[in-house]
Amino acid sequence: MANLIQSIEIENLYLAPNDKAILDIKNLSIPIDQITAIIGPNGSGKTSLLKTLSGLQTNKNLQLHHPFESIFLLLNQVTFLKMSVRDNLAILQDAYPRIHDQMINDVLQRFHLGHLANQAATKLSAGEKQRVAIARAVLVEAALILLDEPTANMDPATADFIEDQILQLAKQGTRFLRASHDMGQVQRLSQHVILIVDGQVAEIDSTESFFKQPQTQLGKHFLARHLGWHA
Amino acid sequence: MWPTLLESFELVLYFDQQVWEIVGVSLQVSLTALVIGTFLGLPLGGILATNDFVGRKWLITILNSLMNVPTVIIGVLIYLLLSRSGPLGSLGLLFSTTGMIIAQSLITIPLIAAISRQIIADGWAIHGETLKTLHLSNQSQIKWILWDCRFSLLLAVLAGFGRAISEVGTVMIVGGNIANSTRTLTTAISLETSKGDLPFALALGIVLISIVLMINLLASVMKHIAEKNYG
Repeated sequence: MANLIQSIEIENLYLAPNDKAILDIKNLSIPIDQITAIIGPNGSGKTSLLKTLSGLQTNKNLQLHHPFESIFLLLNQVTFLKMSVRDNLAILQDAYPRIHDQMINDVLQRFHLGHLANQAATKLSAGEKQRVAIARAVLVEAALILLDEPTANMDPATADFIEDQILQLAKQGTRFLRASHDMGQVQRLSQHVILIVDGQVAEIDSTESFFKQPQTQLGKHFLARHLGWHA
Repeated sequence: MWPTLLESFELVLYFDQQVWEIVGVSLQVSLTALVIGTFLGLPLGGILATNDFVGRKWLITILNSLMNVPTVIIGVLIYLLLSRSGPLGSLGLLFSTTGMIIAQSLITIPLIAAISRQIIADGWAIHGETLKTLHLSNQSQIKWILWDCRFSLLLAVLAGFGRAISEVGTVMIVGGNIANSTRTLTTAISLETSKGDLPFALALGIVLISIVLMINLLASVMKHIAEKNYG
């Protein structure tokens, strides 16, 4: 059964922390089927867009409209407190009292973290840390998860595992908006693509259409640089 | 010199009752002031480190300044407040251990708050964004960042204890150095030295140094073990 395409409507997004605009978007409608990818060169504003959608950053006249009851942002540089893996998950109980210990145990097993439950989270490998980070998002049961390059700097096995988990969650109804530099993964996972260049939206399209025939010059340049694409 | 030193060690080793009474008063006043200073100073440091509000910089400057105010001045102010003609004179707290605890708390609160603010600000720079993405309340964020910094915050608490137990001016003015009542290690050392009873003054000094050394050693071992386990 096809998913109903939902959307996030953004108006007047203007972020200029040091008098230099890093995002300048008058109107944007982000279509979210299961997984939508945000792509663009480094420093184009992908992370800032995710932070804005999560409420971490804002500006005066910004207006956001979306149907999602809960949004959870997973930063690229997730940090953990000097506590065990289990306790790093359990702190969510402060904000979500419905999360009980058995749910934490279940999610630890699901992400193959059961044997690490009582170990210091700060001592985990990068891949294990990312699994704990996604486990947090699963515990929260967010309707929309914002991912900032979730598999960057991961070994292929861990990246595949995380990719599988994202796909499973997406099939169960969780929607994803993810910033990524991995064009292969974007093509495999996403139904829609948003290209951001210099803080502005350059192109929005279905993934298939974008990678087959980008509509804008910026889109063509971007693909030419990343995939050696030529018209 | 050597006979004096020998005599002072004898006083300590044979558990001279007068010595231990004075130790008892010192510990009662300093530890109570430390508990008050910790419970008020740590959250204050946490609020200043994690929140941005109008007047925050002024508050930090005042706090840092209070840390360096000579304790005798605080003693005089508390004396004026608690003296019979002062606004709190009817409470009868002048020359009592309660009055001394109030005075020492006013010394430990800004010290612990100022040191902990800096420690927590460093921790917040690392974990602030992640904690915000977990949708925790402000109080909860402060609670967890305090917990994360707990090993380093031991230093702030230790500094508070060191300041309280080694302080002379305030306890002398507010407590009055009354035998078997408000006489502490430092006021007794001062008095016995002026009386010429050097063995007794030295015995008290040995106990004071031992207490400070033992507590520092204990804190250092705890910090080392905890950091080994949690990074």
